[in-house]
Amino acid sequence: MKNKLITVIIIPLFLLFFSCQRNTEKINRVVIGISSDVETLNPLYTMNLNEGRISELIYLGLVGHRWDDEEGNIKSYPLLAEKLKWSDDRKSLEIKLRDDIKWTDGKKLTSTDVLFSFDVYSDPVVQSRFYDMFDNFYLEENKHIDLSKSFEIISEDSLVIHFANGNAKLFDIDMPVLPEHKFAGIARKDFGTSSLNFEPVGNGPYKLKNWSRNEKIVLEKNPQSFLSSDNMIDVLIFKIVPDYNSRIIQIKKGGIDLLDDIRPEDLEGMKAAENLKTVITKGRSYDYVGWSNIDQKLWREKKLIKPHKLFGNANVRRALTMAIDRKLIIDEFLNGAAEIAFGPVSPIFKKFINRNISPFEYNPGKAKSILESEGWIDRNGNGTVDKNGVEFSFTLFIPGNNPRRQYTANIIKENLKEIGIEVSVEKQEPNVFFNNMFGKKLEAWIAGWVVPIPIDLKPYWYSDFNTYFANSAGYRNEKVDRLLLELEKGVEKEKEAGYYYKIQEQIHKDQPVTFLFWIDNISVYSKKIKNISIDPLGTVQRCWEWRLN
Amino acid sequence: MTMKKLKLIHIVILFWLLILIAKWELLYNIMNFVLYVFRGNVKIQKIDIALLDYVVATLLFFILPFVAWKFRKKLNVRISGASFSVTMFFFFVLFAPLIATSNPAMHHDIKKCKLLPPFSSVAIEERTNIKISNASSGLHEFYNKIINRGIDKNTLYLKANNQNNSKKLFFLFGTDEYGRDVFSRILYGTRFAFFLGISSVIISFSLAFLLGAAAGFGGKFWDNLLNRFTEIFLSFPFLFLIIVFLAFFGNSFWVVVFVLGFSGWMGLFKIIRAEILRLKSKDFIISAKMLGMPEYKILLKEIFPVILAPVTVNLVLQFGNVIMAESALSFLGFGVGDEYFSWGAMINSGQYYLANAWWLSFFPSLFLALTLITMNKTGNELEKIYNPGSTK
Amino acid sequence: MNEMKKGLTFILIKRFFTSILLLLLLIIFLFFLLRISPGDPVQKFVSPLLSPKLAGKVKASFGLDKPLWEQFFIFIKNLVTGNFGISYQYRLPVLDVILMFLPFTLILASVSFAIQIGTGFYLAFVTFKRRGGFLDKLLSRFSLAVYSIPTFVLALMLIYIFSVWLNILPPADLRSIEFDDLSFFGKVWDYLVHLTLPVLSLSIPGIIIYYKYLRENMDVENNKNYIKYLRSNGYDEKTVLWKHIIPNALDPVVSVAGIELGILLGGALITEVIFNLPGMGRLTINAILNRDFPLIIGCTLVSGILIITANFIADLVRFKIDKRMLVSI
Repeated sequence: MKNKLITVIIIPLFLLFFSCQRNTEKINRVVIGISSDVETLNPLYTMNLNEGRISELIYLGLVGHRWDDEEGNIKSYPLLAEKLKWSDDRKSLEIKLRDDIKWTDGKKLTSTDVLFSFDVYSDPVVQSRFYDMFDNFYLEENKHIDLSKSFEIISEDSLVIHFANGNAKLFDIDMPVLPEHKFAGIARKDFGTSSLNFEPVGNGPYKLKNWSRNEKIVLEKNPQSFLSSDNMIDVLIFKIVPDYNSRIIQIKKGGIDLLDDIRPEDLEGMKAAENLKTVITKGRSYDYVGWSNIDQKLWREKKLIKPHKLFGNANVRRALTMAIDRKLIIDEFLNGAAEIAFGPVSPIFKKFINRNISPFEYNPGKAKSILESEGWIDRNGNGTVDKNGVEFSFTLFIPGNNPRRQYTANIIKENLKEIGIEVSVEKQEPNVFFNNMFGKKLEAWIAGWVVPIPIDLKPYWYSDFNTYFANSAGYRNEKVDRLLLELEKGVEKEKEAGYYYKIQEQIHKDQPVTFLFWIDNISVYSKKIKNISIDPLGTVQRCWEWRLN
Repeated sequence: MTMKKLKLIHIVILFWLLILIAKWELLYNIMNFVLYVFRGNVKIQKIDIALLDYVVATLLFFILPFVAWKFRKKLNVRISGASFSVTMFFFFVLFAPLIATSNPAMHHDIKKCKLLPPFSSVAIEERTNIKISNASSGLHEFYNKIINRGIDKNTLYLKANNQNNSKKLFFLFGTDEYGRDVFSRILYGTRFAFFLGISSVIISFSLAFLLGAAAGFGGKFWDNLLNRFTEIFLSFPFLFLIIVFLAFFGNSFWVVVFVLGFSGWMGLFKIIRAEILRLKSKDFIISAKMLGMPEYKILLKEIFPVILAPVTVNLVLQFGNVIMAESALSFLGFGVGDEYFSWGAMINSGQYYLANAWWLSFFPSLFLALTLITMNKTGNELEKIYNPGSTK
Repeated sequence: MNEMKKGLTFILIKRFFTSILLLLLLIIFLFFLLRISPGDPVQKFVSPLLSPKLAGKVKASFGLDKPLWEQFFIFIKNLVTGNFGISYQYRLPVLDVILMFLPFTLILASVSFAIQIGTGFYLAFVTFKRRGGFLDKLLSRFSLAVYSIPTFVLALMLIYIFSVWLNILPPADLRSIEFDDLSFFGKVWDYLVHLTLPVLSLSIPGIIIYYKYLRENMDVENNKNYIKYLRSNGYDEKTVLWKHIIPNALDPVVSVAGIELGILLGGALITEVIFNLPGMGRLTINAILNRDFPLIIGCTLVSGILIITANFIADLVRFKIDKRMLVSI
């Protein structure tokens, strides 16, 4: 018995000893922690953030982007294209491709690949994520680009794109270029399930080495790429760690070298760690409390518009905003790593954000008196204000397991209780929640938006909410509509900011939703990585420039 | 050795006295309030649930000694770990408002009271200058004295762990990220667990009884079919179907109760069916049948009371299972959510702060584990009482 | 004898097929439940950054725009031909996706099952042999307490003790990131280190179940008159234990084992979630949360078949034991 015990203890110790002797020779690599596996690496279908981040290292587009911090906007620069030349009327663009670009299977990238890419991105059968987004091109009836009108192939490495109007920007041709010869044998309706989703043949600085589902995605340097250099990082590993606490432990222990979305309460610990560097960038995502401005039932059933019985009045909505202690949530939950929001323009767009507006201060007394002047008084002594027999009580919906939204909801519930409004908080599974939110079935909810780069406000605030379902609050204002339409048509660069200023003023006045805060992005990386640029475009966007110590 | 002489009744008296000593002021106020209302000094227009909770708990508290006296013989048994815990569990369930040190939903001033470790205290200053406008004046005074309010403008929070100030709030198990008292939340969590367990056990039992009766009286075909069905259900991993339901149809309290109730009837069904088949051949049933008693009456009047005893063991075990299942669901994020005082939800949200505040998930885990151990132990002991010579 | 055997075989096979039939009914129920439930499989295509028309197109290509009866007809047709469809989420045939996750679940389940049975039986024998000994007292006092602790609490405790406090075992993952660079020996060690805690937290409740069942049944058998008769007639202890007590005590344990194995094969959801392991449990949950209809059906079907098979095997084993009993007496 005793002998057995000894073997049981000794052998593992022995093994442990040997395993510690493990070969620890440094490989030139960086491990990036991500929270969930990607579904595809095919740029046609890369919907979520991580899919985009990874596939854009494998497939490059004609142009790349850099963040210009002073302007607060992006600047495009040629990437696969060597030269770009606009015609005088800005209706056609001459593109000269670099002649040193090869697909990872050895074939040369040519202008027919570019043509093919636009062809499939806009093909309704393919159902790519860019479908129906080519409004500046000549289109067929089903939104497919009219290839013969739009493209003119001049040679193997040069082509001209003719646009339907003069509003086209370089952003309109910002799509990763696809290898035509690889897709040639596949029917277009089967693109979504083809093996190219998992075995990409790319043109970028990195190529896929292996992909273990739910574990890691390994990229290695593509020596043929014009972006590659001798001392760039050889291997990039995207390690999938769903549990936040595990990610934090691993970055501290060195199992992960770069991590985004650090929660504010870990900020101190990260700053204290000697081997890590913390970068805080202003956020472009905000949380808000949505108030249904219109009677949603009436709209859903009869498409009629009538103000909501509780939130239909802008004064009431302003009172609600004043009653919510946003500073408290920022201080106590977000450890100060956020900025109170007053409108839909992120602080990163330095030229567009209207700093003349100051957010409503937390002032429950004033909120209460506004409610009183609007007729909301506790007439029956039950602690909740009422008007015409309607009690001011409602359900505030939040999506799934989101601790921040849960915290915010709990604080709001307490805050509004103070001014005599009764709130019950209900969690909904995210898929159900968003379905209900877009379907205008929720009267009050907490959600968030990420403002796209370049900024686009129309989908969120334009009054035609049959098409623009993201305007879940049902906000309608003629002035804002007019300004949004003019911005879409294109205005002179100097006047652009003025438009955004006016939109923000109006939205601030109407308070269609209560804007809560812009959440800072906190990223942490190992000090061994040099030459890393972190800005609103993300952390890994230009990782071919990284160097290791 | 002295432990051996300790009887259950001593424990009941001990707990009772502890509450009486610690909370005599509150009890006095509530009794005063009850007298005040009885004298007709105030007209009750609307029933305030929170206040009612306090009053009922106090009345029960003063009735308890009489009840204990009546059952003194039954309570005169030696104390065991299980009976001790069960007693405590029932005290928590019945007298939660009397024992609690705070309103479990109260956000104490977050700036001062957030994430305090166990055994912390916060100095406070009571102010009377801010009036609560909406309570009528007579009640108002009592209301203030009795209730741990969910919102309190009259209290000024001074400083954590200040030794000098006389008036203090004490947090036995610390506070959570909202400045809520973890002890009170766990205390009310016992109530939540109790009601959840009872409700879904009742559902399971009713379902099992109906199906058992159908199998017992419905003939060979139904018996076979239901048996087959039960075996499938017994081996099916229910967690997934439960999650489908909760994810798709919302996770309100009653949905959780029903789903857990509907997934726990199989074991009970097997026992009830066997009992019914056994009883069917007994003389008293046969004679009742001969007398022309309809089947449903036989079922309710003759069989139901007889079945209750052997099933009790399984009901207790099922009660424990339900609590465990709910906490597991809450832990995965499919439970009833933050609106209720679910231990599983507390453990889940406490994980977020695991590095800085271990007490948030530790204490609920402890109580959950203790409750489950108690339930299983009680089940075992009941089994020994009901089926002393059983095969298990 | 032979007649009886045939009869039993017939009953077992009949049971197996009725189970399959019921599983199919369950699948059909699930099909309709999924279709009527709230939520939308193409939710991720609904975004202000995408064309509003895209979601509709994708929905049509999944066949979800057709009337319900037509969808059902297609579903049944596909089911009969063994075509489970293509996972919305993975863009791969459902069976391929399941095959990526099933091996791990099979391995984890069988390892854990072996440990449960092995340790449970070992403890039962040891404590039975030395009744009243230290181990016996310890187990009879604390086994229920350990069994009562919910899996997730147990797992968190283990992580806290071994990973945070003692820092000797990794808190999560199947293998380390350097896995590919390791030698064969290193790879085995890597798996071993990573799977210790998950297997432990998955196995402890099972160990106690088998220990308790077997031990109690052995005690019951031990007190029966025929055993006393055998003993008093001078049969040695070994024969009594192995030929009489154990076979008789084993029968109820085997059907419990069938159910337990079935549950393990269905995916150890909580363990997989806490330890970040790629098994069937998490696959199923993700399929549910993403409304990946074909994958949900596929997962249910595969786990259902595994469960039924496990129970069938348990029945066969019981049958085998019974037969030996018949022979031995």
